[in-house]
Amino acid sequence: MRQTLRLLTALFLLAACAKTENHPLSAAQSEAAEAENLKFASRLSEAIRGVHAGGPCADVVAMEWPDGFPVPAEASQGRLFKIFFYPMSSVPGEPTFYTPAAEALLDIETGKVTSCALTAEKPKELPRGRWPAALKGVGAFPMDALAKKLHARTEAVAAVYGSANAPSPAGVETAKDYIRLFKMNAEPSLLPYYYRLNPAFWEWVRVTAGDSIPAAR
Amino acid sequence: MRMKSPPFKALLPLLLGLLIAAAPEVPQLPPDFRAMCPYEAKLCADYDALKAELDASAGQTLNGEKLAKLNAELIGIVRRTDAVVYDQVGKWKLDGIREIQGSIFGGLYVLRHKVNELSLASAPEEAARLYGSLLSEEHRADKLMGDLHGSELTAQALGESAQKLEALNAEASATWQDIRTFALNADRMGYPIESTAKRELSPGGKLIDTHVNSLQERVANLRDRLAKIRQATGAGASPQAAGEAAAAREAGAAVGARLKAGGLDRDLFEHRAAEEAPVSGASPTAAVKPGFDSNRVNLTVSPKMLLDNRPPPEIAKPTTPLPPRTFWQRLTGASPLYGGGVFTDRDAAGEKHTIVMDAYPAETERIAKLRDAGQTSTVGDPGGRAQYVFRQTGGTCALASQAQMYAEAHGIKPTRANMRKLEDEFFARASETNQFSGNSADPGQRGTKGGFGGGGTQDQYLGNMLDTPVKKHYLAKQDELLTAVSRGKMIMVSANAGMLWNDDRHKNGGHAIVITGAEVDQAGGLLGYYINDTGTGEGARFVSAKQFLPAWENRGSVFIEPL
Repeated sequence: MRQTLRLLTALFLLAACAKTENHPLSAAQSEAAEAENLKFASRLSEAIRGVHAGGPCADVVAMEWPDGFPVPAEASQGRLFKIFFYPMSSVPGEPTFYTPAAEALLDIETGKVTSCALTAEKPKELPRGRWPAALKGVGAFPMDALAKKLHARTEAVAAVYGSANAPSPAGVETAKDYIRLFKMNAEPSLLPYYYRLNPAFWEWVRVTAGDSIPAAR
Repeated sequence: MRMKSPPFKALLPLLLGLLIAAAPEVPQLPPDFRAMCPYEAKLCADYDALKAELDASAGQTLNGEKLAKLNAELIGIVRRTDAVVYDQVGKWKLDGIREIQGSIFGGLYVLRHKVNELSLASAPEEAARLYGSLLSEEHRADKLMGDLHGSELTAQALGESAQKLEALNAEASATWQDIRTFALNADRMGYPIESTAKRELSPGGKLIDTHVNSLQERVANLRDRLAKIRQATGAGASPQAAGEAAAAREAGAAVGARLKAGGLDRDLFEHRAAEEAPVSGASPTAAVKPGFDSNRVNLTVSPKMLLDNRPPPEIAKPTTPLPPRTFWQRLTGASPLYGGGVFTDRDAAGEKHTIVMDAYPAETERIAKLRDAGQTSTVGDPGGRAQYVFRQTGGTCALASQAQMYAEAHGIKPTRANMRKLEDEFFARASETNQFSGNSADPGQRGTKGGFGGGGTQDQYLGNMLDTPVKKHYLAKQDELLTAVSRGKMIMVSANAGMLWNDDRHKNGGHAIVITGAEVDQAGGLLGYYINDTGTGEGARFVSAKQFLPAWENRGSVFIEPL
């Protein structure tokens, strides 16, 4: 009887381990939990908060619109970042969301928005399902922590990208970690719009890290 | 022998005629304010008295005091009428209520016109020219620019602060955006009377197309604004001692200098500026003009020091406290604090998705126990204010939040119909004045059904529908929010919807809600806020500080406080 019980327990644990090992959720979950404990802070996260505090975006970007993840701007030595904002429904339930409606340039040295404007194209509704499948079930607070970690990595990779020198081995590792985190976090249906923010940057990531997001048509 | 009765068919026309004659006559109401007189005798009597006074004054040149008095009486009647129309029309049970409302507002327009005529007859020539030009302005931006020029002319006429306004005017040509924003701000908050008059006189935007207001009101507001600017810049530490003119010149020079350095924009729109560049020299209270009522601040965003000059806030006692945990709740372990609902829907893949809004139920329960033990205090009126909540229609959380604040401040009965009507009116006004994002000509952007949804309210315009001076806080501190809530009024905040609803599908989405109260510990430390959320339709939801503060800070720590 005892042996049967042990066997059953072992089988149960094995099954649980196997499930955990294979499920793509666990990587994102553990990384998010770690990020939540470490509480990443960056000038980039602060600058994004500042979008709502006056400046050029104050009468352009609706308070309801989520911000995308910032992308390093070209020739700014890691100081300027492009970011877009996209409309999304603000009632509970599966949200409807749209292609970007506004773009801004952030300066992390001053923490201010340098410029902000509505996009020329009228936003189009995107298919439902905002986040990568790997993030499913991670939870709102851990996901936010993960996004802050990505902000910190974006700042770091921008410095490598903005440097006049070829990336050092550490810089290459930063780029690899960045693209891994970006793909884990970013909205799949918005990837073409991220690419358009700075195609040169994404091609640099492809060369440096051996991976990137697809080029937008 | 029984008498033969006449055939029924023969009597039918006679019976019908009798019925028609006996039927109560449908009242034909005259096309003016008196439509409501059978129901609101006192209001009508006040209306008649004011009308008689205006008729008697026709053609006369009145002084400012008299004009201000007439104007105040008119506004009082406008406001009371508004409340009556909202509150009573349902009870009157009259057909064609929209037409009757139109008649009522038409009556008010007659009064308004009379006051305007008197104002024009009494005003100096150049002010009359300004006033005329204001009425003829067609484009909002042009109008606001005109206001600024107008302010200068009026100020010169009064001998006040010409230098300061010249600096403003000179800067305007170079920094159009700054001035436009400033003017928007000043127009909305400096002249609540304008928007009130426009809205109330023109419910459908048809009766009049221009703003109307009294010159005296503008002058009074201008004086107030100058006082605030003087305080904001730290100039004229003792305006009384130095004399009004000298203080104004000093202030003008200071504002000019700060404008050149881009400082005024910061003062107006970011209270942080006051912290970064504190006023040196005189103590904060010394800069306050004697007799100045700091509760009537006209700037939308005042430097922090203005509010710091207020007496320490008192913790408001709840008028409708939430009941303590009942015996049954204790027995079953049910929490007296409502931490939010549990919602189930289908996600994008069609799978069942359950959302428990309370991200930290254990924390809520801990606070509930403290509350049971009498170790906490409730600030505000979460129980009483829960009646104002309703479900927003589309992307109108900011407008629906303001509808609640407006209804409470104006004594509007919070029926669902009234709240929806307010929401609709605010949406119409916001669209009209480009204070709703995107293409305001596209009604679908409200997101009610079909078309392009996803419209919303830009941060800058939060609180603009309230028709009352508000202070807008950006990147505020946690204790500033608690202090504002403790002053007792409803406070609007924007928060990260994903965190507020504990639903990662809404991560980073902004959502406006109203704080109706707070739970604090014995030392006055925050334990959590009570909110009304028009997204979920939940009132008096308790959100622990652990859940609320990150959600609020994530979206720029914004809150709007009516003054």
